[in-house]
Amino acid sequence: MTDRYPALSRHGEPQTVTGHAPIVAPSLAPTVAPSLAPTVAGLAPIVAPSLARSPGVSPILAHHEPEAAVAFGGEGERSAERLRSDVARVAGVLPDTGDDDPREILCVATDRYHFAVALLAAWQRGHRVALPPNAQPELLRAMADDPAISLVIHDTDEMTGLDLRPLLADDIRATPAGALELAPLPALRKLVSVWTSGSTGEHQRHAKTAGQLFAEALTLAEHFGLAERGKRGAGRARVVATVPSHHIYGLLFSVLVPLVSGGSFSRETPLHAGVVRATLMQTPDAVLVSVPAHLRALRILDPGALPPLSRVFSSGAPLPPDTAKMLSSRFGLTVTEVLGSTETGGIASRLSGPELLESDDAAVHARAWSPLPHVRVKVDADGRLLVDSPFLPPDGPRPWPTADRVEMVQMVGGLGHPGPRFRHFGRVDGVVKVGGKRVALAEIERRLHAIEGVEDAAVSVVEVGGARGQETVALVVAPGLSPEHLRGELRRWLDPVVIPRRLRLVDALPREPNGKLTRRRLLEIIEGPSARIDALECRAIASEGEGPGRVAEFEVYVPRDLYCLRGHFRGAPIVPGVAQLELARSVALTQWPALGQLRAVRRLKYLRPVRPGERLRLVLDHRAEDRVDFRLLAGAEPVSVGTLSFTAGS
Amino acid sequence: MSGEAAANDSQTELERELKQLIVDALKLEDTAPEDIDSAEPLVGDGLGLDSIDILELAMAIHRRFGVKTGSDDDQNREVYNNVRSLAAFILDQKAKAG
Repeated sequence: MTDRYPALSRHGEPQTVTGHAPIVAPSLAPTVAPSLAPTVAGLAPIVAPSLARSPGVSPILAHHEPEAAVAFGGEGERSAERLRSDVARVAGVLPDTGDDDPREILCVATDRYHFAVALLAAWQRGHRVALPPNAQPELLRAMADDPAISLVIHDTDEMTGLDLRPLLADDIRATPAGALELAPLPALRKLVSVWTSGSTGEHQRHAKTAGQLFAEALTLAEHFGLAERGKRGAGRARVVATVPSHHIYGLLFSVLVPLVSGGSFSRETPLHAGVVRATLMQTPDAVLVSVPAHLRALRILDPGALPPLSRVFSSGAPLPPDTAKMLSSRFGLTVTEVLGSTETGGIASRLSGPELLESDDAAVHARAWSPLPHVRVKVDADGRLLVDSPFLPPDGPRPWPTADRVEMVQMVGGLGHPGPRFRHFGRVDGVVKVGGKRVALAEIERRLHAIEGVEDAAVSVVEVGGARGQETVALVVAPGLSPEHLRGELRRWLDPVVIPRRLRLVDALPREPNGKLTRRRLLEIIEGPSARIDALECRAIASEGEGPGRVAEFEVYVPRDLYCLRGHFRGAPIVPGVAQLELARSVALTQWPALGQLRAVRRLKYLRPVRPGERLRLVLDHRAEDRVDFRLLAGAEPVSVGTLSFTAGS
Repeated sequence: MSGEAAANDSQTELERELKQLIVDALKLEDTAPEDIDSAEPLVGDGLGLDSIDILELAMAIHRRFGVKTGSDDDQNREVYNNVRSLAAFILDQKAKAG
């Protein structure tokens, strides 16, 4: 007997599945849109009853005593009271905003506490906050110059705008601002706009309302028990995040969830295993918010080197089974994976641990996703996931068609929580994830096309093992440019993780007659055996036969992908002299094998640089038994000349 | 050979080994070990490694040398600045361990 059966949706009407029913008012929860609550103060009774407080109170800091910590770390602990007063201080210097002012404030703080202060202050003054897709300096500066940005709030020397550091410095605080009572935000107000990478290649802005953000934060906090006191009574969730807070995952899990559940967060964002460990050691029963690539790197720590954690979250990409096994066997950790997107918010979760991977049935069970509370999922006839939840945009379609392909799985009996689940098979569009970072292939192509000297470009994605999961690859037509130059240009705009690792320069893209380029043809070139071109291309055009006194002529082409063009000549690729010499030697020996071996090179002159894509002429003059003069010519202009002495006759 | 000369030798040798390790561990098919300048930045406009590369490299270095990166991110940034600083860090850690 099988433990699963395919979903009905394969054959007809979409199948609807509802997540865990909430304890209170189950009939209300999935259908009442949080936008019906006038402010976010009305959300908790609907989505997270255990977190409900008196009506009219903002969910932000609702569960913090004044002296309770909201932030901790090397830069010092901050209490809820201090946060309120810092928010008041920053809110006091922010400009007014009109009701229909479309402009946004850009927040790029590296300290998570500073980020939270900026966010709350902007919201209290009615501003919407723009969240950058990555933290590359060029992109941040371009965003800062965008007329849609009214102000930049930051805490680094690299940016201009409102620097939070002097405002929040201790000496200024000698005259404390009164603690601000946070007003509950209108549920329909748009609080942030997340600049994502759209499938068209343009950055798209997705505004999220207060209702969306706080319904999800409250739901997550309740569902994952993050508001409960720790096992040792040490307090509520203390979040350590390895991901930045300007992504929606980081914003929700490392900032908003702690703020609505009486929890706290680390001000720093540790990356290296040793730093993650040090931070966790100082944070009893921490909640670790991370991504697979960062979790995988914990491998270098000794077994048992991590303290007990109350939960580990991973999102952005599937957790590889060997990373799940390593985390379990070395540190006894089980990972809670969360599936979601900027547009839909959280959709589903699953637990990854080796005990769940032992048998086939269990593996299917473990790799399948359970909808989060209040989330309803359907599958359309094409296998596309449709979602309905309080975390969706209030003015968007319901159900929301995602770009994810899924299949329903039904488990029965003996495995804990039988119930509706689905398996996830990736995206249906040109948006891919590399190391957990989402990027549109079209955007990489657009950025490549924007580089001066690039004539054509195509980008695709290939599966690779390890931390990345998959990586981008590119074919580019760009005479005279090097892969390093192209990557350097891309790096100004794109997250380094998504920049093509394999970037091959070609003379033309292998397009079909109709101008289309198939992924298969592109990958054939990328993965083809000619991956490393060591020699110049050479074709005989004239030869006067065997032996001394003869002259032979060849057409030479410098492939754009020539291996020796890399390396020292990254910025301005030129063919090293040694490659030209090697060409002359090997061609001479092929033409006249009786020459023997090369003994000496004389009168060698490199007269001008040779660049990729050049067509040259090689003239070999076999003027003595053991001697060949070579000339490499561009038209009539000599490029390099020399005399090769061989062992023949000696 | 003086102790200082021996130290210089092992630093140079280690730098060479690290360059090979970087190319192998990160599968940098565009780059040969000898193309990497010991003083060029690993991240950004030098060799162009990203944060995931750095984590992968940290794992490879731990496997090869048994050396772990420290618990201070500012220090880690200095250690992973270039091949030279990384080699110096590894020698220093091994000296402490030995």
